[in-house]
Amino acid sequence: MRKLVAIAMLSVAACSGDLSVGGDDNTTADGNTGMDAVPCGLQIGFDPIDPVASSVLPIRAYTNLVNTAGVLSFTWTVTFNGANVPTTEQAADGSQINFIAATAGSYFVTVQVSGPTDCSYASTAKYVEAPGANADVFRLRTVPAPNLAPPQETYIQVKGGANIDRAIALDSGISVTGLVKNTATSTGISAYLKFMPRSMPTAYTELFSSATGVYNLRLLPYDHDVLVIPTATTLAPKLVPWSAVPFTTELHVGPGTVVSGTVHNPAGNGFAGAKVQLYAGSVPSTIGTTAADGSFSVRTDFPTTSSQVTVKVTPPASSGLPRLEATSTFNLANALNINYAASLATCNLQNTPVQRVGANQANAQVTVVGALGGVAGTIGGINATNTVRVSATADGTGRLPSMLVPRGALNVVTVLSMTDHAVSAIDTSACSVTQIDAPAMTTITGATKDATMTALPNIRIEAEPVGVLATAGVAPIHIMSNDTTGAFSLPLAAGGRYNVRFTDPQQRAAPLTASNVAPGGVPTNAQLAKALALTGQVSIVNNSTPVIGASVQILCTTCSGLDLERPIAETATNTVSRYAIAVPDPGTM
Amino acid sequence: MSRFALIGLVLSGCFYTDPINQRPSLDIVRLPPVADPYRGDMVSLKANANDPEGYNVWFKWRAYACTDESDCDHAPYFEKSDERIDLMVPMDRDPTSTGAVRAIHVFLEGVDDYGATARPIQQLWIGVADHAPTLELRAGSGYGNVVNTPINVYAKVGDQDDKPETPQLSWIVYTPTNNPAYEFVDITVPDDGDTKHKQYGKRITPHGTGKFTIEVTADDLLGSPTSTVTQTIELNVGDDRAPCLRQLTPLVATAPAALPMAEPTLFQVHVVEDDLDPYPTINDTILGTTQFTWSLLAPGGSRQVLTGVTGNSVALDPASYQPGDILELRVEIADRVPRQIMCADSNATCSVISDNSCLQRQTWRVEVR
Repeated sequence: MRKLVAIAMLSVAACSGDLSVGGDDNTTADGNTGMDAVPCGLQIGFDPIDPVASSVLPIRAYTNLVNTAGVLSFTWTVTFNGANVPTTEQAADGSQINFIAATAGSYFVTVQVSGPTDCSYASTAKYVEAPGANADVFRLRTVPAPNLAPPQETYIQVKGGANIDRAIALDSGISVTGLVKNTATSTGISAYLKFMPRSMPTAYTELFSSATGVYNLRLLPYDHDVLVIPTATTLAPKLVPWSAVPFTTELHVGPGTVVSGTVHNPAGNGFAGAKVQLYAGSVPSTIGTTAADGSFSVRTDFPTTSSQVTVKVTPPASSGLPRLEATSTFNLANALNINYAASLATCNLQNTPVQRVGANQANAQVTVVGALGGVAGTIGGINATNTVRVSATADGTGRLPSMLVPRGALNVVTVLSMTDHAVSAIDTSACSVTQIDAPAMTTITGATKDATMTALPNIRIEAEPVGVLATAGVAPIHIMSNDTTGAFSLPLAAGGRYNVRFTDPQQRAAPLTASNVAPGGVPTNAQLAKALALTGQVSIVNNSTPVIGASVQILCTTCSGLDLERPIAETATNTVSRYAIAVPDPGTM
Repeated sequence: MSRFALIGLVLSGCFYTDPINQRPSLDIVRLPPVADPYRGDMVSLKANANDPEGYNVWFKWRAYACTDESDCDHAPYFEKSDERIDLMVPMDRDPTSTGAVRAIHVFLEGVDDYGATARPIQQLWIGVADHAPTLELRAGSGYGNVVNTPINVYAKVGDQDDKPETPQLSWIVYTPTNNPAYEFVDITVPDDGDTKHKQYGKRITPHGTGKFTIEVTADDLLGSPTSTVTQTIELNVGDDRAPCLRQLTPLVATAPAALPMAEPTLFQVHVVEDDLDPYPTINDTILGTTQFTWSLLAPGGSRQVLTGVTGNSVALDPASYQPGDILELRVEIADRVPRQIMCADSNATCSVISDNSCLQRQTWRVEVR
């Protein structure tokens, strides 16, 4: 029983972020004999645990003291926005107080303990939520200098209506040194390594091992999956488990299993230059390139638990054929036959003029993109999806060079400059394209405003191409709204679609995103919602080194793709290890 | 008494007269410490009385606050009848007086039980010493002491024996030898409730680099002579430093290594360290933010500046390229000071200050998968 008590008290000391711990109290504390080696612990607790702002109902703060003897006295302070909040004593010994939190926000509570104890001080910030506060959940990612601690992510719940003070205590992790080894030769190899914590894979750490296979980094002492992509193409990429206990010292990769096959063109002939790559989840194979007869081979070392494999085929750009992709439970022991549909035909757009308002556009970069209707090919007998992406640059007279494209209803993206692009439809079915139109950009004008519809100047506006523009590789357009009026003029391709993001670099307001919109869908009264200030101290547990210049990012929880990595808001810790970041206010009911 | 009675007395050889009550004598004894006290200090005095008849002597103390011997308050600030007194040196003279308390004049009178008054009245002149003011200086800048940005200088003044408002402050700015211009204005320092000290502030905005020295003098005019304390603080004003790339994702690979890119990837600069134009920035009238220039080198082409991209991130989609392609995505940063990145285009990194720990160019080498 005594042992159980000791364990329970130790766990309090270990888990509390508000804990002050002293180590030299050798008196027998609270009658628990035999616990002399256990340090004292002091923690502030609250009732209710999640208080709501009220001018009537008090919040009780109390001390949790462990392993402390003697008669103690307590001095409490409660502050809010720098001002003292009155308290009333709730226990004869002063160990409990009440206070009224009429306004939502973070209240700073400290208690000073006088008496025979080393645990003489504790402080904590208690968030008091607004009545009827809505809640939203975000990922909070903190990336300090690599020598301090590994990147870390946690989920945070943000309640609407009040600013929040939230300390970030980082786990310093452990310094890890290991070796990436080729199992076939037992030698170290150079490889790309991506250490992904199994509990939070997005908080990954990347590095390359040296030419001799050595790697060194800091990691959280939890289980990780490590994606190892050897530099040598004779070795297969592999997902390797890593654990702190027992400590993994070597990551093993090998030649893997050779998967071979043949790529046939619509005429049924093999052809050279097609790239073939297989994926099992995030684990790729090596890249195979077809020989003249269409044959290829790749090396795989997929997890045994992976049943679904994706095969991607990228023909040479000059072939005019679309890319193929299929996901299935392929039998990789058999040769993988990849066949373009016999019905596929191509068309050469050579000499086709690229025009804007009847004028040829010299040196225009043209990309034909889209997806063909019907089945463009099969992979291992499975119908594949297809993507067309063929590029060429018009000559000085604005006419295209030889440019084979599949026949079908497609789109053409024309880039006249980095900030001037156009989208138009093109039908190559009859191979009768007479010209490629590059309509002029359209300019969307508007203004950026805050939650009260007051002008909010200096807002960064990013128009990220999506759909065919993205497939063509068109770069995004970034502008800033006017520095006094918030007015903006955003040039966009008339037929294009964009994700348009309005973000405030000065963190005065929450971001606004218009997803997958045509130019007409861009909000002209771009009202950026109210933001809450999330502030706090960043520290390393059991390490007093300041955490300066650490990146603190707020990220989405239910998103995917690029948005997983795109911060909703981000900041960096200052010279006193504090951060302040604007998070969208979930509001109140 | 009748004449006959007197004659009778004389003849009998026996005189009787009423005894004459002699005056007591007085002394003021200063009890330790006997050094000149400061305003607010206690002075302990004791009356030594000697009455020839051994009668009790009753004392009356009075003390006056004075500036000098010719200028004392008309009314005593202290009166007491004890043999021993503890006398506080007042902070101020009578409200109608303008002089400072530089001495106290103590009077002691004594009367014995039978009304004999000590003569002369005892006096003690006690000079009052003066504590020099205390002065602490601190400078603070949110802008790294960069030229043309403000630096706040704070002076915390105290005076142990005066009100903290008493000392008068004077400020002198010594500029570097090239004598650059500067602005120097008062700023308000929030009251921290410290009644023992008062804080003053000035904001200097230097328009040149070098060592600026701020000399602050606090004069305690209540002292005699005026007690003064002078402190200086040096401000090393420097040029706007070059910005430094601090945190980027994903991993930057250097040749011959290449970062495998199997899915759309956001190349981001998360942290740029700079004195005036950091990224991310905050809402501030002086701070700006980093300028980003992105360029891309794809196979078969030349490096293309992504002129429309001015933010801290660029997304690349491997579907826009051929598997196996090697791309070079480059970011270059600048602050408000024009600084040409002179490194050769083939250099993956560049530091305009020849410091590899502070780069303004970084290049991701990416292999399309």
